[in-house]
Amino acid sequence: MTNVRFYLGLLKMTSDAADEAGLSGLTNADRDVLLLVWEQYADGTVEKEIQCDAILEQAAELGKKISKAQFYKSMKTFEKLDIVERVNSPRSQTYVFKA
Amino acid sequence: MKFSENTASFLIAFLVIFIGFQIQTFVIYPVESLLRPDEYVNYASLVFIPHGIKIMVVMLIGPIIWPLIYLAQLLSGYIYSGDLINSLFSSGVGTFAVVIPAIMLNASLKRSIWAAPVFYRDINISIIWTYISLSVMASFFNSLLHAMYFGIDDLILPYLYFSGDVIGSILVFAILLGVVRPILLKIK
Repeated sequence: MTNVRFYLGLLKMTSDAADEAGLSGLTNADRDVLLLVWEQYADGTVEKEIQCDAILEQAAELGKKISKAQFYKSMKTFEKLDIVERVNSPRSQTYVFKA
Repeated sequence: MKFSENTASFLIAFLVIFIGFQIQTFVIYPVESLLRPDEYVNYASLVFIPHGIKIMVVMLIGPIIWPLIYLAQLLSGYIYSGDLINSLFSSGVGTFAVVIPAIMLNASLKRSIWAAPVFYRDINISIIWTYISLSVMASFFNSLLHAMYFGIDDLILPYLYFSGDVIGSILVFAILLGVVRPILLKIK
């Protein structure tokens, strides 16, 4: 484990720097989730409770396979990239779309 | 961080620094000689990438890597110039210049002086700004100490050393983000 320190460090260094510079790209799965989340705000609501099950159902209707784990991972990425912001409590499922 | 537990990482770091010096010697110096008309081209590079590589390694492994930085620079300097005395001094300055700012950073954040900034556990630092800060501080040390050693009367030369180090660091960082990172993500 310790012998991959150089590799891990380099990966962490470049990833953190890319995040800071706003260069970290979204994966294809992230983009799919983002599109579905974005549609939740189509009615003009500012704050919206984003339900995982509803998003997954919507994805299934469109023939896209998205897992629960992927959904939460993507939402975390969006928060990190300042695309969405969680409001109320840290465990709340209500987000404000910022981008 | 003990050497015995991290042999591969230390050796990779040594190789990366050594290769950086070889690229500087056999690629960047000749290209600069062709492109730069000024008389300083033989004394100071305006794109000195080993500086950025050394900063990167110090951030990844910590200042404890200093003996291998010194060795890599000494070996490269001696191969290039054949002048042992100048190589011994120049490597000392080059190592001192990158290690001291990192030790100062660790001390100011109350970390072990040998800690690697990339692996700070309980503090969220900006990688970009830490890299830039260390690079600029190291460039100051490097250019001033080299200027003192050579007894340079020409005031332009230290500025050229400084500029070369900083520009080289920026180039290394751009390569890290633009080339190295996509490769790392592919092999993850």
